Amino acid sequence: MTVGARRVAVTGVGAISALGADADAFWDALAAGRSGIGPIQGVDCTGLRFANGAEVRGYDPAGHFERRQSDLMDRFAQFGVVAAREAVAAAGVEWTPELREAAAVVTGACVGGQGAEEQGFVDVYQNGRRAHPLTVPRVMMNAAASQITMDLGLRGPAFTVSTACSSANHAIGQAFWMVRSGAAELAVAGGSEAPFAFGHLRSWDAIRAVSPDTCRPFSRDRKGMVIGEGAAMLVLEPLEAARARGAAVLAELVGFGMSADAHHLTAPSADGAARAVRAALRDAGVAPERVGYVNAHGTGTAANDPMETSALRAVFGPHADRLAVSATKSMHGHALGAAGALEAVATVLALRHGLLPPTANFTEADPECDLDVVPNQARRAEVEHAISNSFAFGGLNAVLAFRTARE
Amino acid sequence: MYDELTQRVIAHIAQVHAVPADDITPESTFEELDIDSLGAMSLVADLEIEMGVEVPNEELLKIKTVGQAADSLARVLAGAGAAGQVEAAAAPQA
Repeated sequence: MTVGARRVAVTGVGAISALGADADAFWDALAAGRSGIGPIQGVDCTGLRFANGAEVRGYDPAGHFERRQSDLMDRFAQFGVVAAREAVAAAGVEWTPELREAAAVVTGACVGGQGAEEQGFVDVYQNGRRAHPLTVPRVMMNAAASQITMDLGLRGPAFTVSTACSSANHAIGQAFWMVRSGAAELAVAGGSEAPFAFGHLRSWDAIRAVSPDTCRPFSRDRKGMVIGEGAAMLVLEPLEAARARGAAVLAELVGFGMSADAHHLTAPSADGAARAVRAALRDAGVAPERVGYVNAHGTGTAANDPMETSALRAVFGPHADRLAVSATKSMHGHALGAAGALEAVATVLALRHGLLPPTANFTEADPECDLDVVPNQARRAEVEHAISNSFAFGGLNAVLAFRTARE
Repeated sequence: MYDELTQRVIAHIAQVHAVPADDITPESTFEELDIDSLGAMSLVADLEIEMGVEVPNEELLKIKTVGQAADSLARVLAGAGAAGQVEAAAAPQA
């Protein structure tokens, strides 16, 4: 940790996902080991090699927005605003004009307004029409960040980070560093995604990384990832400020590390992953032996899970056998640019509740993934430090380190 | 009572912008209704898609009132009828 830097507290979280409409529903499902993966309802998957996804079910924009507001937003931006509102309300932030001007918003997204973009393409290429005039503002990757600033009246630094499946971790990490350094007095950070559009699913089908049934991270019979959607946001603020206003501190965010594989566009590298984990621990000033839980990137693909296993073994050495490592993508799916944010919320709540969410859908151990993966059942454990991994296509890695706020 | 097209424009504004339909007349300007230029373009686009027609670009930016929107849509609808349903064929929802 930088000398003189401030400690950073997580004081509120929000989540909308396949596991439910808010962070409580999200946590209840994680704690129960209940997966939100099921038949995709929003898109006709005829002709695709997969038909299951982790969709947000029963979402009605009218339950959250006036029509004139929701009309301006693709589903991914709406999810972002919904999660940000929940996080800020949960944190009980006491807004002043000064705090609004010093409040940052950093979001991750990898796909962006895909539904709006594909509709625009259908209008232009298939129907021979103009695109809807709101297509560009609905599609733009920063739409969620912009809409959050307008919805909540936050006027400080705001931007969007796009690093494929690491987007949200990179976003939260940047926000964390801004709050730690004093560049922001508060941050709303996370990610949002709504990738269930036919053209996009076709592209995933083509790369053959998606499982035809479910997501079984670290299992010998795993067949790939399952695409998810949703959003999660965290409120970050200086620990001292949080304590001064009597806010409940859910966990401390203590470290952030990044690396690039500089290796291959899709095949991950254990060296790159390990360097990102080490960088996060170094940033936190935490010895590897003090980490008790890893929320794994754990996609359930053939390539990721053994790679992540060897990366963790390289960093933690013999301590790797004492680590609990779970992949919550088995329950909320792989929400791409929102994945890291959902997993950060899972990690924060695991520390908060002293309960480690499991790797669901686990069937059979794989010798190449020989870690304690907390199969199928949550485990009660008081953990001092936890890390949350994200490794992206393109070899861009981002790892967050959290510390418990429990006494 | 207004013609059918005007009523449709009014109903759409009432729904999207949460304005009571009784407060909207053909003379209402978008400005009065607190609808900015992007909102006005979006409104016409929504109705174009519903009806399977397109108001010419040069006309689109001149629409400032509810009545003008209805008139523009009426003209292209009449044109589409005369031109052999080109637009209607391109838009199955019409």
